[in-house]
Amino acid sequence: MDRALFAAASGMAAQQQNLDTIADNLANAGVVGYKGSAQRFAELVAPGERGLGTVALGAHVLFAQGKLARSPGPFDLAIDGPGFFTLVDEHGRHLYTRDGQFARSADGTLRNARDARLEGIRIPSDALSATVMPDGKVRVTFANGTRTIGQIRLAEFPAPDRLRAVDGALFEATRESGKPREIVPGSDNGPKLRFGMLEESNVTIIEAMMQILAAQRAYEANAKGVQAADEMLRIANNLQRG
Amino acid sequence: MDGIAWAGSAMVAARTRLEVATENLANVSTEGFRRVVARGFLTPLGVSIVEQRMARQGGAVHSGTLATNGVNAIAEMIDVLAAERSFESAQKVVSTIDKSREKAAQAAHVA
Repeated sequence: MDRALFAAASGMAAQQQNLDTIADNLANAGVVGYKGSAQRFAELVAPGERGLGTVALGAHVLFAQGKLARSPGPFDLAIDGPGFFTLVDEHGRHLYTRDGQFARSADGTLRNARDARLEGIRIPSDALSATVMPDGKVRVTFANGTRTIGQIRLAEFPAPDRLRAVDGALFEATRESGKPREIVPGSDNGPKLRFGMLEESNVTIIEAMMQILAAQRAYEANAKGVQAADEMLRIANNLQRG
Repeated sequence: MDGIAWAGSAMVAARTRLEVATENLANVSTEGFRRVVARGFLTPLGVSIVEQRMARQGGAVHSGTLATNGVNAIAEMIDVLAAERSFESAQKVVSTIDKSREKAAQAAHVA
């Protein structure tokens, strides 16, 4: 009965963690470029293949493409395909994101809402307007004509699901994710940049709600298992009285 | 034939059945989990129960979806309830046999 009690309790604990992850996804369903996570589980096995319940291994980020939506922002960009924008924050740290909400700052760099700048692009102060082509080339219109002033490159990782989420839609490279590799957008099978668009979070609310229902029911079923094990212990104790 | 030992073996079997059902329920979300089944056998000494692992669920692999592991939560819940009740009835049998023996012992004393 101890085994049943423990297995059922481990199931409750795992579903609790599952629910935490789903709630986190749901809370960020409206965050541009956000990537939802999923909890992974493994069976606890004692020597001799006897199961002892389950354990939650932790959440891993799911990098599925989010929907692209038109956006009125001055310098909104979306990545259609794999890859990340490379940002540099105020400490010189490299951060990676798929959130392309940028705005031109006083020094001509493109910065996100947290003041991290997009690497490699500086728009001259006399520029009238700028646009980004699918291959990342930044076309700037001046009073005397249009010129390409640079190209936005994307970063790709050997194991993107091992990146560490630092804040919302920002990620940091880790030893497990590998070193970033620069890719030029716009090739036939590669990623393309979409100017005037943003990538929505890849969390769908309906799916998350269904996951909540499933997690809640699984929690409930495991709670019943705890109750049953407890009840059986009580019955066993009654043997003594005869 | 010892009735108490028989009923006792039924209690052990019911306990194993509960353990197996809770194990399956705990792993209802575990990818690649192989369901456990408890199989009972009648032996001259009562009921004997063995745990068996089901084969991994086969089939095509689709990206972006997780394979279900074959655990049916409703069936497992019913097993939990059934195990609890059969444990209870086996315990009643043990107690009844015990009581009747107690009576017999008292009768022998009186006589």
